[in-house]
Amino acid sequence: MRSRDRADAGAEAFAWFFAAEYPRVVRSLSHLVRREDAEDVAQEAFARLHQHWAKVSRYERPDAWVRRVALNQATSLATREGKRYQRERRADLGARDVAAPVVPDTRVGDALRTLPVRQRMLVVLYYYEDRPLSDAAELVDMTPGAAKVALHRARQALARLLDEETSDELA
Amino acid sequence: MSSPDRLDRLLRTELRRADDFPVESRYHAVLARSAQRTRRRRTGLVATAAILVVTGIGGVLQWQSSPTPPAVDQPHASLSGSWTRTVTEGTVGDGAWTLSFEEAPLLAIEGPPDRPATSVTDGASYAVRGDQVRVNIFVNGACDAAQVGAYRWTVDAGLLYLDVVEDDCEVRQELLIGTWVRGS
Repeated sequence: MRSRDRADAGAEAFAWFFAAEYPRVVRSLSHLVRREDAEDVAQEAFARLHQHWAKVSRYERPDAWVRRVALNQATSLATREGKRYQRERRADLGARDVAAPVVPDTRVGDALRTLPVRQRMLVVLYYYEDRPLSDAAELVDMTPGAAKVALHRARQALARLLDEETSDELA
Repeated sequence: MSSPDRLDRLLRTELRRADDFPVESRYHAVLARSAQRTRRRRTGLVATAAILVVTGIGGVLQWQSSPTPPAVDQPHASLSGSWTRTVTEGTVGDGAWTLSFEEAPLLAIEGPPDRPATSVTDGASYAVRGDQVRVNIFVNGACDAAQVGAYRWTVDAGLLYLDVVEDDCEVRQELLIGTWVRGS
């Protein structure tokens, strides 16, 4: 295949991939950061993917690649925003609720945003994206064991906040 | 239905309400960002080269005008070469990472296979001044806002110890802080 044809095929493959995955990534990120930030982070992650598409498209799971880039950025953003919120609260500057709102704006969303970022990610990957725990663990760079413990803690915290009971079993 | 089941069901149902929100396709915006990043990276490489040249000239001038030699500002021989560290936690990517301090300013970095952090590292630069080394690892990846980080380094008995002096990039800190073993 000529290089021009290869480039066209690559561009078309990227466009298909983008159409399938971009909305899902934005929606997942919307549970972690503010909606406008979710779109910004997703766009940045896909821009990087576009730059590395020739290489990443040959990976077994390009979707995992773009999610990891997006989750890394979302983690940094959520951490920065959290610290800023704490500083503004300490200084009594009338801090806006920087961690909120996540989407959807429900009591589950409210409870979710009280969790540490990584626990939040695991909950989203496991319950929203319906990924196996081992898969979710890999995406957030945790061992399956550590992820199981973190998800267990997240469920306990959510159960308390939502007045639900919980057990060790993941359903 | 037991309560645990109810909790799981509640989480799934409520979180999936996000599917009702329309997401506008930003395909062209993403392509524009990609092109912008490429331009920025090229500009950054040129700027880095210019800074290193200017810094080198400044160092020479300082050397000539100073009664005593300045602190070591060239790569220390004991820092040169390859160093390996196994990262076991954090977002940078579990596994063995290798830093190779080649002829300044070239810093090669190799991480575990199929890690995004590896893939977005297009080589890096370093500069040594005294007991500190400044690096721009991940500048095109996870450390967008934090261009350069400064680390204190010591080498003892074939081990390189890195500790952060100043770095706003947490991913870079996760990778660098710790003990590195000299490689081949």
